[in-house]
Amino acid sequence: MYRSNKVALSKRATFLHTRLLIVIMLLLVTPIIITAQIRLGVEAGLINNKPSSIPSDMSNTRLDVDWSYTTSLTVDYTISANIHIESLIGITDKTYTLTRTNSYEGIYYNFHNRYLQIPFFVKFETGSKWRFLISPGIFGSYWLNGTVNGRIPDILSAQSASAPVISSYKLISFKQAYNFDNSRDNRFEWGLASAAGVSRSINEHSFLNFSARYYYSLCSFYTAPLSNLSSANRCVSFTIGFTYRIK
Amino acid sequence: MHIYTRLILIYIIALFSCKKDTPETHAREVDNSFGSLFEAYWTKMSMNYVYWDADTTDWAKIYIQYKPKFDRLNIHSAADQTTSINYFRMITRYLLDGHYTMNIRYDQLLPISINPSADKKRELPEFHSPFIYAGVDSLYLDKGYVAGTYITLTGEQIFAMSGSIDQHIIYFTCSQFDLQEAYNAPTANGIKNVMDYFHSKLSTLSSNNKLKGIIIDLRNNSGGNIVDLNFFVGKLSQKNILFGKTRYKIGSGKKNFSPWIDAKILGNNTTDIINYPIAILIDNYTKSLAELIAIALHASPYSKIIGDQSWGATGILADSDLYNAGSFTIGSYITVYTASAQFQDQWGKSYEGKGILPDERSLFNQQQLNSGIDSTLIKALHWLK
Repeated sequence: MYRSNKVALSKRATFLHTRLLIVIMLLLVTPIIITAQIRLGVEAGLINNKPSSIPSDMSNTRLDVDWSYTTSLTVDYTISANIHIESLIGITDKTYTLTRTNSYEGIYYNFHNRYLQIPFFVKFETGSKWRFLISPGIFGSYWLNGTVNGRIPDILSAQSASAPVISSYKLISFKQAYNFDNSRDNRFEWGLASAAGVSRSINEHSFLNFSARYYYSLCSFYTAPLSNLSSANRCVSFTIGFTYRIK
Repeated sequence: MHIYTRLILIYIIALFSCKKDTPETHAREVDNSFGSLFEAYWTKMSMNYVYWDADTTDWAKIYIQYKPKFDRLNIHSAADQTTSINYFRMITRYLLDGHYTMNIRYDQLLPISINPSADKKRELPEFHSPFIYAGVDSLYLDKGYVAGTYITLTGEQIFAMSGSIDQHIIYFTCSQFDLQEAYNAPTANGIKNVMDYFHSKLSTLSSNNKLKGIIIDLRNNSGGNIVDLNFFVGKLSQKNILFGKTRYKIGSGKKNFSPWIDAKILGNNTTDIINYPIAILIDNYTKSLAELIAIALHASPYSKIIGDQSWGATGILADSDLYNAGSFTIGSYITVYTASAQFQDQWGKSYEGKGILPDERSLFNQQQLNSGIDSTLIKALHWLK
């Protein structure tokens, strides 16, 4: 199959996946909204991303995981006393660092990719004042923007003719926006999600929530046919949230 | 136990028993076929070539066009190996990088080198072969000039010559920049003598206020080691010289670059020799580091570039592992030499693939040179006098 066809098919598949996801969500959510109790809230926390493989073919490079932030609005639909459907819409910063090793120690590239992330969970709860919960789910993300910062050697600062000796270079710090490349970067991401946590009722309407979530992306953040690199985000988040029952 | 509590416990146990993802590096494999060789070459070019933001070659289209053609070739057939070389020549012919050289080694053919930049120059009507000017220019030098050679650690012979013209103009030329290596070599060599002569003459004449100007002849100079920027130009200046900017690939994206970083030469002289008039001579074979040195010297307001348009290979070659860019090899078949960093002058002008246009044009004239007349050098002398 020619590459153009592969690219077109891949783009078409991504488009269909996204549409299918939206339709499923609407089918699931619409009847519930009409009858269910609804809690609205906010949550924020830390997220740790560990991509499935090193997204680079550089030698002497290791992948370092970093913590960043996640923040979202939450909507919780009560189906029964113990079953809820929870949806979030928020910004999630998925970050990772490529750190050069051995004779290149000191060089690193830290990527921050901000996604609009919408997970849906089916939440099973138990308990009274403290309620324990687990929630399997799915998620979809859309890449909004990114930055990259790091330190690179200034080649013109070389003091020695015998390269590569990184100590003979001046390392320059930089930070700038990531230039999205449509031919290789995947703007959409989707996958499986799961969560566990506790919820504490403050009063009849208000709840304090502590959640740990895991997001397992099923697609590479590279457009597969145009790159032999393949790496998918794998994120763990810990959040604190507040929800208020409005209905 | 409540059913939901049980479910939650089972779920939490299942969560913690998930397989841990271990990051892996990607091995690039080339099996014994032209299809996989082309695939590996195309991918490596996508990631390592630093001019995708400016190059006119549509790399995605190249894949569509050539992948089926390579798939049809047999890697063990001499005829197909020749065909593949023609394909690679077609693929690379419009690449911007002036350094770009593709060395191909097949079992059925002699090793071959593809240099798109040289191929383009050969098609020009004014094309001429490299010319060694030292023989002619030594006729213009006062008695007592110094010339010498040195064999570099990589086995290349470099030549340098310095002398005075009419006692008050200092002339310097070298065939390649490995001057620091030669100067710091443990054994005595001709380059060391030339450098000592050049600097002592500059120092003497400038301290007596008798220095009328300097001629730095970079014609037919193929470049050399980047450390010579500071070693050679830095010794002509007291202050640091800002002469341009460099930028580097970050990550494996085609168009992801670091910000432009100031390119500075660290001045390490007690006097500003660079403030004396400097004539910089260039020609079609002034290449790579020699072009950067011309640009750096031209940062002085008292300088003039005379000669013919330079080669146009101002990107910087570095150890291929240092940046996520530049030279690479594909199995035992292909070695590609390509820049690891982009360069532009302090005004944001790139010379890659174009070359430096001289302030005063002086075209190569073989006939005159054969009769001992170097019209470019004469123009420099007129400007300095």
